[in-house]
Amino acid sequence: MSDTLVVKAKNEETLLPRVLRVLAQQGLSVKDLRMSTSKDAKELELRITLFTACAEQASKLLAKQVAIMAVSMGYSVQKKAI
Amino acid sequence: MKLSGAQAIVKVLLEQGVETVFGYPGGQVIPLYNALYDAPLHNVLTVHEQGAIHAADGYARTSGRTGVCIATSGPGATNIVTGLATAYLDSVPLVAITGQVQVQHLGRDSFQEIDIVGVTIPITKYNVLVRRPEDLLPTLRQAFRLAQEGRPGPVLVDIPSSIQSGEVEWLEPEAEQAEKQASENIEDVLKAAAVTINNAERPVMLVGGGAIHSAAEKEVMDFARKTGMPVVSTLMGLGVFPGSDEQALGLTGMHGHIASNMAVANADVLVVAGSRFSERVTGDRNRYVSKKTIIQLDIDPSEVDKNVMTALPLVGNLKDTLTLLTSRVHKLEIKPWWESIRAWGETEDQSAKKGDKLTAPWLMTELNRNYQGTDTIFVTDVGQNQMWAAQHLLIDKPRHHLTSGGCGTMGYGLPAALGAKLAKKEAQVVHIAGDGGFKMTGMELYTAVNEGLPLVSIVINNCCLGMVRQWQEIFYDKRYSSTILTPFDFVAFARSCGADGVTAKTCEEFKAALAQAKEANKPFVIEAVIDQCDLVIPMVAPGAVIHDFVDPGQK
Repeated sequence: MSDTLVVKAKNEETLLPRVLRVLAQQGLSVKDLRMSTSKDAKELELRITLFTACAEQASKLLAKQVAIMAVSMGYSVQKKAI
Repeated sequence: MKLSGAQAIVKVLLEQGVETVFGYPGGQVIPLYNALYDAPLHNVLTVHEQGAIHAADGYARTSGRTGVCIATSGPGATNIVTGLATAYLDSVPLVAITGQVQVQHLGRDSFQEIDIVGVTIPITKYNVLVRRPEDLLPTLRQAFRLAQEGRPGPVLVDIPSSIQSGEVEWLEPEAEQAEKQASENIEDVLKAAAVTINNAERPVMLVGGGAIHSAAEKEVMDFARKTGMPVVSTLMGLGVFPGSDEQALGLTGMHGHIASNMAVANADVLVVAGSRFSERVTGDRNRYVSKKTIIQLDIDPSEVDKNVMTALPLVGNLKDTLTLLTSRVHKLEIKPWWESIRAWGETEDQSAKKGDKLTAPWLMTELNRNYQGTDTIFVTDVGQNQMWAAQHLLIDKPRHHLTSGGCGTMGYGLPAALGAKLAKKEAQVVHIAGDGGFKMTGMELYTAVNEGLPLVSIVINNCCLGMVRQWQEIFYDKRYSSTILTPFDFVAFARSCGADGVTAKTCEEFKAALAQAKEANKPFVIEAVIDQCDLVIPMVAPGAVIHDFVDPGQK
């Protein structure tokens, strides 16, 4: 079983290290990562497949990142944190 | 209107209501310091950048406003890293402005070029390098907004000197639309929480630092009074609920009081307001939850189920969620529960407070006698001094007990006390440190003298790194590896900084020293010499269940 996270974010130069750091801190390993930009290159979408299925806390922590607009995890969408 | 980037930074600081900044100049912030030269802002020049950021932190914790720190690139920026981590782990609103090499020199290992944004990603709420002049104003304004919004935290803005020297077009701030938070439907959880509380036989309220950030002291009091339940506090929550109140059981956690920890351990319902369940609070997390129902109130959704599984999470500002909860609960009939708690309380050893010799617990009770009812802010360092203070000082108001709780930063105390005094000049500020921690940032005493700040600084001197030594005594077979310190003349040091000081070796000498310190119109150091073997008790071994107290005599 593995989780897939879909992260929508502003296209900032530090976005990727922030995302990977959060995952690594939670002990999660990335199996597959695909990235695409919006037409105006202002937004990024990351589709991250993990080796394991326990990404709920990572999803909450990612949603707290300022540049990140939304995180969805399979069935649920993590609302932007306060 | 065209301004230099540096002038624009100063103008944003003024626009944000900043009156005092803490910093240290260097090559890549010379343009900014040039703009500060004749600005109506007070720059507190510390001895070291670490002192500047801890002072900004103390200023922020005391005032509730955003603290501002300025450092140059390279070593200036890396010197504030510990301060950022300290603020991050205790959710303190700071804006750190670091200079950076000119844009055209970025990425070339230029002199004093460090990727401080890369370094500080994990210890800031947000950080950013400003690469274009047009980004300067919106980035700075965003930094101030983010530092305070929701769960507060430090934000770092890295500004190349070429941006500071270059021109920017000044734009007035746009009226910001407050970001509407998606509000969870908490009605069902509220109902369930109220039913659980109303049926509780052994309830406890646990208050953490989040209640300070939310300014929820009135709501905490209303809830506690209405239900009549006992209130325990984490290190960061001290002062939210008055420490001298009859319902207050005081500190809980590794060095929590017996009554406090026993109450938490035996509770059937635990109402938690703004705490992240640090392992120093919970001990063994699996056994912490036991059969109790935990109702967790927190502004940060990522805190729910992070460290302990919560039955009933209420996410939102504590002022709101507690008010809603209070309206649904009633006075609890828990007399037998209170009798048990009082019986536990009576088992705690009070002999160190007797006053037959100078001990830290006696010293704290003497401070209570001197300062209770006054507007006094206690700022502690880290280690035994911190735990003795947390156990024995009676803190009756929020923002009157400052300490590095999450990061445990030795050397935090003195510069933070300096910041606290600048934030609230009318208050008395009492700094409490150990001899090890004082020496780490003690040079900021010189800054306090330069700023004319009459702090009282109490150095509890046991000639050792006491907390580590305590662990070595209890858990490492008394092998005191690198923890025994050689003598140091604290009084001569204080005088060399332009402060004053005395040494106290007895209770009577301490009383006289404190009277002298209170009359001094400059920083005053009291070196309180205590026995090296004095331990902080009660104590729970790391990883043990929180009512399993260590008995040092048995080790």
